[in-house]
Amino acid sequence: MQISKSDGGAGPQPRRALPPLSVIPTTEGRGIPGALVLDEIEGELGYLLWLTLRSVLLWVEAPVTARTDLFVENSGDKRLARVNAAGVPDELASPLSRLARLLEVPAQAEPYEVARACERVADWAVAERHARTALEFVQAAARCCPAEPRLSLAAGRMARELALYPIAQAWLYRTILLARPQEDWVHYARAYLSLGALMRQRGAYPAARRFLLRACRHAERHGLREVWGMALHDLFVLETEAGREEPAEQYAIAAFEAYGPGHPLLVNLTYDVGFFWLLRGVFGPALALFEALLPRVEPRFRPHIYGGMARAAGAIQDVPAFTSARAALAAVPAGVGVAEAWNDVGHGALSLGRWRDAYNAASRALALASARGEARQCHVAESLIDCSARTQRACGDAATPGRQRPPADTARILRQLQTVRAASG
Amino acid sequence: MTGPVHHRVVPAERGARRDPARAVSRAAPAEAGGRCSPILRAMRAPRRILLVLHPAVHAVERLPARQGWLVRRFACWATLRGALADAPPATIALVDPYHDSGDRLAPELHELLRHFPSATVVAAVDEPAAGPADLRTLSIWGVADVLPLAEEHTANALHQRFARVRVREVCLQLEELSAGLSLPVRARQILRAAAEVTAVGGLSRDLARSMAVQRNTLTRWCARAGLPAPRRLMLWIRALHAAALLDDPGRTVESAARACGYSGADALRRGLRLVVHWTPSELRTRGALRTLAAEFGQELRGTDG
Repeated sequence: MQISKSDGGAGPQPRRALPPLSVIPTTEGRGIPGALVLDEIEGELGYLLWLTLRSVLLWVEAPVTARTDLFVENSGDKRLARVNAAGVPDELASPLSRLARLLEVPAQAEPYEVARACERVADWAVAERHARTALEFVQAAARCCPAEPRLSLAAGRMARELALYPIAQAWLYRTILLARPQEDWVHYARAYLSLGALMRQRGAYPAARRFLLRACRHAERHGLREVWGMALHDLFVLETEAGREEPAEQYAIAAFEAYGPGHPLLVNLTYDVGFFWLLRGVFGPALALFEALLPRVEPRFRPHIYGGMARAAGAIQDVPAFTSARAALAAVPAGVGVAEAWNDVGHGALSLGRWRDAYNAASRALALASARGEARQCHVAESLIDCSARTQRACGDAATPGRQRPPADTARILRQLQTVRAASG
Repeated sequence: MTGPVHHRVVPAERGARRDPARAVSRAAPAEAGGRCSPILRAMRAPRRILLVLHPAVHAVERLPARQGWLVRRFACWATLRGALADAPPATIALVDPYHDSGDRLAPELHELLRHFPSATVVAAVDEPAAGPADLRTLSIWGVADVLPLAEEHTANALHQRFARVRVREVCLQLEELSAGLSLPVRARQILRAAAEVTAVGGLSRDLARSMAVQRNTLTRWCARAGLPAPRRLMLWIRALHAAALLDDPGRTVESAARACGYSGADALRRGLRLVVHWTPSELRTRGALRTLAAEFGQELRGTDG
């Protein structure tokens, strides 16, 4: 979706007063503003992006009436020459040149054009895995168009992925306040969905359930089938993690129906059903499911699959499958779900009776989860570390393999899966 | 039935004098009446001071006069360091990070930031000599911002930048506290504004003015947001500013007190006694800003609950 020209900057007035953008916590902490860009991207390109980000922020934070004389004369030409000389990637050349023109005539620059250019830089950064640079530019775009819920939501989601929770919360609450008066129900419901995911990530389950139910209700009320499916899906995951099997199963079936055949998110839901089976001790079918899913999922979801495979393989004493899944996970950098995946590897190793491997995997999970403030994963990792030490002392060899057949109540989900598979051809 | 009126100080009031939390309830009615406590009345209002150690930055002379900038130029690191020792919290030092050091970052700057970690130091460079590596080093040293002079050497740009970097140490501490306590957005807004207003010697009426509301509205907002009454809040924030300066190894208690608008070390001690039981020296040994922020957090939890 593109930013419409009519609503760049101003937009309809919300019923409740919006808090100023200055209330949103900053990412720089005690360093210089934009230092994250310099840390992530080295050399001339990093410096150029840092300069660009600063110009945009200086321009956007100055009152509209005070945007003349912000920059030195001819600094736009100099910046343009720098962009041309730096040999920037093709995707960046156009947005950086556009942002360089901001220095020439700051008073006449259009906020929606500046925001669009910032978004393009962020898209490039996401593709290049420069997540913090991407966040800085998405935030700059959201500041350029402060009445645009889509940009506010994008900033909130990106901050959540980087585990910058206060920043994410501030942007997501802002999205809700912006979207409600504009009757933009898609972004309204998605903001609640994101807040639910954020709370789940932090281990605050009651708050997560509240937000997700609200997202579910609004999506259903306004006929947003996809968002409705996503909310049901997240509720399924939440109840699984909370250990409430019956509601979890009901949410899973409802989510399958809401997505419908051929929906791209069905793959993720199927993975979550596999994980649900893992927790219920149905290891053989879960491993087969994960192996079938691996080539179909996006790369960013692969850590989850590797973790699930290692856990299931460990439980059925399939050492080669366990080893290959663990090796594949070791090549994945830190990010969303990686701590959880290492905890799964720890569980798998425990089932195999490989205490040292279990300890190492849990220690790695603990370090990753602590860095990202994921309370639940920290707790799981600590339990694993404790368990691996105690079990090593208590018993010697292998653990009992898990159940091979799904229990009777899982058959309903299996039937649902088969129906969806048949319908999608 | 009427009885004799006792004008003696009853034990409860004596206790209130000692216990900062009780002092709030006694102070609150005065808020609506508009009277200041003697401690606040005795304070000087520090100006926005800009200390410049950079021969090439001329735009500072054209900073908006109505903002009350007082610009002082220096020729060497030693005199700048002397001036920073007595500078109020809203002071900004604008320096050339390569001053007297050729193409290397000046070790004197690093030394300065080690002695005055709470100082807001902004480095102005045409082009960093060692490229982005120098910027990263400056960031690690604790420089608040870096101005690329080739692009931003205008009075307007300097003014916008300085507005953003002021009193960041206390603001960061308050931000961390707000996040930890999950304070509502309005509470964060009030805290931020209070930090800005107290840094230039403002009182609770100035805080209300800066937020464009009546003082009674501000009092109501504070109560709803789980914050102490405005006057009490200002006492806390002023004490936090003083604590930030007390953490600087290069300052004496006397200079920290004077820099924050107290008439001296005794006035600071009396001001602190209204909010905590520590003396400035005790605070200093415990890590003044962190200790005081933790105490403030305790009071906010109490107010909220």
